[in-house]
Amino acid sequence: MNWLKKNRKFIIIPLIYLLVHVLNQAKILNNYILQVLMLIGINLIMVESLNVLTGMTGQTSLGQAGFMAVGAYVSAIVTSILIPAKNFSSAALISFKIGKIGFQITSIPQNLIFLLGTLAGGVVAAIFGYIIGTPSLKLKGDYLAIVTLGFGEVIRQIIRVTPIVGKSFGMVGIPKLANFFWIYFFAMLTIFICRNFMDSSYGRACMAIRDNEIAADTIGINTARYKVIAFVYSAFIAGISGSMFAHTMVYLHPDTFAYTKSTDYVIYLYAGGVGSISGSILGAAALTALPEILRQISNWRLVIYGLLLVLIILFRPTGLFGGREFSFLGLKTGGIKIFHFSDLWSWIGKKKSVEEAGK
Amino acid sequence: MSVLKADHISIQFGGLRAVNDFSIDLNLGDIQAIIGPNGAGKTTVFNMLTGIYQPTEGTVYVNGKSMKGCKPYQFTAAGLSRTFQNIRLFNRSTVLDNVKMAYTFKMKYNFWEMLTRTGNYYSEEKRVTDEAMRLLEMFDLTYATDYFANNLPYGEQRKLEIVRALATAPQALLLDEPAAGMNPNEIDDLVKLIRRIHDEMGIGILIIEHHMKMVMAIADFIKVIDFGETICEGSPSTVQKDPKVIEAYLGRHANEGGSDK
Repeated sequence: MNWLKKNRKFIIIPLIYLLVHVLNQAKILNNYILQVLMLIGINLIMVESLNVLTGMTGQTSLGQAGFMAVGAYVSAIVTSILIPAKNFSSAALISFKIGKIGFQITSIPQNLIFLLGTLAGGVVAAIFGYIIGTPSLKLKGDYLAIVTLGFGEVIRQIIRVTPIVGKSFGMVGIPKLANFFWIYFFAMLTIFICRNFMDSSYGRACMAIRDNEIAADTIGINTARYKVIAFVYSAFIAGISGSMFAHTMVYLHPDTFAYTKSTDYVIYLYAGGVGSISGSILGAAALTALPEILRQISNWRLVIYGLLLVLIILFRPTGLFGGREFSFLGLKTGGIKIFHFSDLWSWIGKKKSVEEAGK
Repeated sequence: MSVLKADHISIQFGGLRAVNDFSIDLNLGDIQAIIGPNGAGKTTVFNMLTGIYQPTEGTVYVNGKSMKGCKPYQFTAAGLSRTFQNIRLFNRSTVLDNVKMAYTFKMKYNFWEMLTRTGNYYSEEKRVTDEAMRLLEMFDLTYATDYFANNLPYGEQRKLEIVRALATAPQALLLDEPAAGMNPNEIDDLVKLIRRIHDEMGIGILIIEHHMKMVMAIADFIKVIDFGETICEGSPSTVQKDPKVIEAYLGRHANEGGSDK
């Protein structure tokens, strides 16, 4: 029982997956909502990747979609070569039922190829991270932002003229290998490794660079090395997100990865709370879901979306979550206020008692 | 034993020779000071001694090792640590993290062990937290471990910067105007602090300071520079009597009029 209590966060993670799966099977959660959840997962991985670079290391990046594009196209090439369209089958290899809930496991070789493609996408994106990170070591702030912006556009233009990925017509014939399970798995994995990164000497070195580069240098931190590490690590995660995106959407077009996509992620990051892992989760989830929730008021959708963004930045300049971290992440580093779910109840209680005292 | 040695170093910025032919030899257990009027080149000397600027002539040695072409972090790894005139703390991190960041270059786990939290990860993190806590306790900062660094009072921020510099376990500690902006009480505390560091750790300390009373109270050996040239060096009493020093500080005829004596 003690063991259960100690490791409850690791038990809750698969339970959430099971809950979504069961609700989906029971037709309470339709496929549209599941699709939105998958999109949230993809964006969450992207925002975490940007958080490593911008939030922790303080290096502005407006070309994160470029890394995502590299990951997406490379993984799509790998999987579509290894699984030609005529051989691809989404039929279940094994299906079984527990009670009324059906479980399906699709072909294992296909899933392994998917993992291989994802890894390839991540590694190639990381190589691009190294290529862009090394010459940018001396650049700061706006100048670095311009270089990364240029990088994203260059990648897009290269894709536009590359025959193997369908030039500007877009790439078709990507097997639909990603599903909610994989996206959920990679999103949790990303949160896990980002937490481990933040709570280590690597994360602390990056945060020292963000806060004061000269001081970081004089306490023995090799700033150039850690900046490159942050670039490579961030690009790797963005590449993984790209792979998820490619195998969910099944169709890739270079214009999907325009600079507007990069700025979207910057907005998610700042709205959620820059530098905070929990803030990134919340920002990605809230701002991905918001346009979908507002879909009913079609024309006014983007107006309200924009207005809400302005309000968030005006009234919560530190982001929705204000630099707090969920207690289940178990973070010790980062000068963070810990958010316990129990605080929510005590906060509501306090408000009530204040109101009562007012009477 | 000499921990920091500069051998006739000079630096040139375009046509301006900011510091000319400066030498210093700091041993373990020394407290030395560099004084001089505003713009004399004191901080430039410091920046050369810690690797932020590369001297155009001459070489800096840390623990007998030539530091030609080395970056500041390599100076720190060789056993040198410094503070800044305008405090440079990691403001968005807690006091404890500020100190823990100084242990980065001594961590004994690699990237993979960090990601998976295997190998040395837990033991190293524990060691670093314990050492940082011990250091904070030694300087009475334990009450503030969870505060953001910029929420500390000014004097405490100075102290934290010194503690952070000590966390790298230096053999030579360089303090750039530690008493700047402090009131007399805070200066008294600072003098006690520097004496304590000197007595308990036995490291070499080099100070740049404007506050004469403080320099005369703690330094064994003083170097005076003006317009980048070393104009005088010696014990506090020698320096105080030197006509060149009085001229640099008070003007040409100050020692002749005698009205302020």
